[in-house]
Parts: sequence; C-alpha cells; structure tokens
Amino acid sequence: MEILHYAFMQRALLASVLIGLSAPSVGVYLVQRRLSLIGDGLGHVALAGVAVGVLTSTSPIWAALVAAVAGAVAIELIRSRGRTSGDVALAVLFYGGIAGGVVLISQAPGGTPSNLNAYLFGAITTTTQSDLVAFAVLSAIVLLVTHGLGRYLFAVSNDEEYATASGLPVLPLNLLLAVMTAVTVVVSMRVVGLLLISALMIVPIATAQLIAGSFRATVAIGTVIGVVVSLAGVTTSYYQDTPSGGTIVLFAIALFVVVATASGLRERRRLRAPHPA
Amino acid sequence: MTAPDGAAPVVELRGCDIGYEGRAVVRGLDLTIEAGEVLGILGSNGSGKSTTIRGLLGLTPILAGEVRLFGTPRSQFRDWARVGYVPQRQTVGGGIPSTVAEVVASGRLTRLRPWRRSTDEDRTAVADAIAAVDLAGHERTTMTALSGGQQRRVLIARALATRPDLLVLDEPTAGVDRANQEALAVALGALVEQGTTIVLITHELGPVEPLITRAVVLREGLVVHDGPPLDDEHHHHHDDEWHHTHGDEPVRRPGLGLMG
Repeated sequence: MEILHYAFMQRALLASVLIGLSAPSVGVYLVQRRLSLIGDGLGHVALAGVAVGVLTSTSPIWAALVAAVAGAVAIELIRSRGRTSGDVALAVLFYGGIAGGVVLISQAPGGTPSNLNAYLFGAITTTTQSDLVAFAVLSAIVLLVTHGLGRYLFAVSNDEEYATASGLPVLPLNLLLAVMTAVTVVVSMRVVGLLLISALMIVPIATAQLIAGSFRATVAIGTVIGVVVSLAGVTTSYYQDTPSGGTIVLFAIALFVVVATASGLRERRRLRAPHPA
Repeated sequence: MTAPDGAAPVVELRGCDIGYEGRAVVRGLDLTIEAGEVLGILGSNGSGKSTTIRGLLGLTPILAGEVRLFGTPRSQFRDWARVGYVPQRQTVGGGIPSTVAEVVASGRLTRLRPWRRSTDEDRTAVADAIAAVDLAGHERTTMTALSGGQQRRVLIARALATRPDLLVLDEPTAGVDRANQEALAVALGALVEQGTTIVLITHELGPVEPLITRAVVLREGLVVHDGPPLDDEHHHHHDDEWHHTHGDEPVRRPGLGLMG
C-alpha cells in the first residue's frame, strides 16, 4: 500500500478509525432520542472555538473542545426546560457560533475565511502528531463512557419519563451524552470536518437499524460501517484529491441508499410471498 | 386493611396539590395506601388520575403537601427499585430496533451499579419478568414486531424487573384487546398473591376488576369516592357523568360491578 508510506496518511487513517469508532457510538443515542441534528449544531459552535484558538495561536482542538462542551451543556439545559422558545434559543446559539467563527478567523494573522475549508469539510493533510494523541485520548473517553454506561444512556434515550420515574439521574446522563457529542465533534475536526461530523454520527446508525434486530447489533453494525466508510473516504481522498469529510459522508450515504433499497425490496418480496412467515 | 407491625404505609399523600406552575390539577389530596392493597384510581379524562400518580412518582411537581413512599419523604427516597411504573404509552423509543430483553433489562438498572456487568441474578430477574407477562420465548424479538397489547406487556415486565413492592400502572388496559387484558389480569393476580401493592388507573375495568380491593374516584381534581369498589350508592350518583364522559367507550356494561 503506497499510501501507508506517508506519515500524514498514516495519521489521517488512524484519525479516521478513531472517528469511525466514536461517532456512531454516540450517534445511536442521538438517533434514538430524535436529536439527529444536535451534532450539526455543536459543529457550528465548535467553529467559534476553533477561531479563538487560531486567533490566540493556541491549539484549535482544545479551544474547540471548550466551546463545544459549553455549547452542549447550554443545549441540554435549554432542552431540559422544555420551553417552546428553546428551539429559537438553539438556532441563535448555532448560528452565533458559525457567524462568530467566520468573523473571528478572518481577523487572524494571515487568516482568510478560505482557511476554514479544512475545518469545515475535513482534509487529510492537516492531522498533526499532537492532534492524533488528543484524538486518541478523547475517543477513548467517548468509547469508555458510551459503552461502559451504555445501559443507562439506552434507558434515558429509550424512555426519558420512565427513567425519571425510576430515579435514574436523567439530567446528568443527558449532560454526559451532550458532552460526549461535543467531544466527538472535536475528534472529527481534522478528517471529517465540523459541518459534516453529524452525518458520520447519524448515517451509519440509520443504515445499521435497517438490518439490525436489536440495539446492541445496531451499535455494532453502525460502528463497523463508521470505520469502513471513514477508511474508504480518506483513501479515496488521497487518490482523487477530494476533501476527506465530504468523501467519507458520500460513502456513508451511498451505503445507506444501497441497504435501504435492498431491505425495501426484501420487505416487498416478503409481503408478496403467499405464506408470510 | 393494616400494614404489618410497625410497617409504614406504602404511599402517603398528605394535603397534596399536584400540577404545573401554580395551576394545581389535583387539590388537597389525602391518600394512604397500605401494603397489599390493589387500588383502582378512576375518573373521567382530566379528573386528575394520571396527575396523581405522576406526582407520586416525581414526574409532576407537588405544589403543596407531603408525599411519603415506604415512610420516607419522597425527596429523600432513594430505594426506587421498590417502585415499578408502567406508563400509559403503548410504544417505546425512537427508531432504533430494540429487543424485548433489552427494554425489560432497562427496568433493572436501579438494582445495578454503574460500570458493573449484570449478574446471573439480574438475568434471572429479567427472564422472570418476561415470563410473568407470558412473553417467554420472545426475549430476542424486536419491539416493533409485537402487537400493541404485547408491547404494553413488555412495559409491565420492565417495571417488574426490579421485583418491586409497589407497582403503578397508568391505564394498562386502554386500547388493549381482550386476550391481552386477560394475560395482564393473570400477571397482576400472581403479583397480588406475592403481596405486591398495586395502584392502577383505569376507566375500563374488564378482567382486572376482581383484583381491585379499593377504588378512589376523582372528579375535577378532588376525591369524590374512596372505598370498596362495590359501592352502590356512589355509582348511582355518578352514573350519568360516567356514561356521558365515556359515551364512545363501553364503560357501562351489565355486570360491571363498579359502574354498571
């Protein structure tokens, strides 16, 4: 494999495995709670953090992490109040994040909004050695929490009212999931990009649920799909010189369309069968 | 009906106003439920039946008064594994497929410690709960492949997974076919024999009726009847209202002790 000779490609491929593993592990709970677009909003908010990082010449990863986690906590607190104005508050937060990010980054020395492309849509050449270490630590935390406390996150996502009535710590669990979403957004920022990460959390899970018969199987299949499309996207990005994030997401969507079509055909055949099982 | 020596009542509500943001749906409710009782909470839509049990479980704010569970003020109560709750909703969850065993196991969490694996005892409790609602063999079945009545029974199994001392059910029979209602009555009957205290909301008693030892009737947030289910004086009094409110449902049936 020629691409493995380049250090930047080794880093990009490792980063894509990390994000391919963690994005669906968080996304399954977002899909279950019908909060599929929360990751998208957090990507917007994280951009403001990236800009602050670039402006102050600190690591954009840690600044993005602070912004995304703060945004996640704010979203969950707004959501838990259950007010109708919460929807508008979220919109203000998301667009405030992206607008602030674009304006701030344009003020950076030598910075123009076009530098944003790599952050927004992913690029294979940008992952540094220290990024990779940060991503490994952050992914490990995400996987540990989403799998270690998976039963609790499942209970809260499956039936929040029941979880409350059983005395489970619902708000802390919701905050934990929101923070894990924020962390995943940050892990994605090199290879997938802040505007596309939500797709990698949601689409592999949407594909997996078409063929899985249980929650556990959905997580397992979704994670495998996440890793496969991430590796395929990064590899294609190298050979075709395309933005890696967009390429990964197109692979994920292509797989979704294939599986959805196949399972639709299978369903129709089953219904037509003279003696359905 | 008295509790065993020195044992506190299972539920005590004292002067409770229950509702949202200053608007009490239930007012001045005094209700004591002793161990082993099977209490039916009855009333028309909007009478405060669900609000009462939601207040009891901490899902709707208590605006005034005091709630005690097993003798402990509810704000300090931590032993949630002793309480099982079956919500009114028939279905659960979002779009992710989940199996019967997965949903029922989520009811077991209050008996578990975080980060620990489940033990054989946990798995046995989940299997027993599924068997108790007559769904053994369906552990790996996806929820969406079940009928509405079967899904309701899964939610009952979920509430049974901790082996609770108090089981609270919100309209367990509404929209459930006769066969599933009978399966439910058998399951509840077995729990009653084991001494489980049961609180159930209903306006359509059906096969569970013989199990009920006490009926509380609510109207516009106030208790208008509290006593044995076969209270002739009461049902004549409210006959017309019942019939009127549930005109589209077969509430008044010949031979239905409480309301017929």
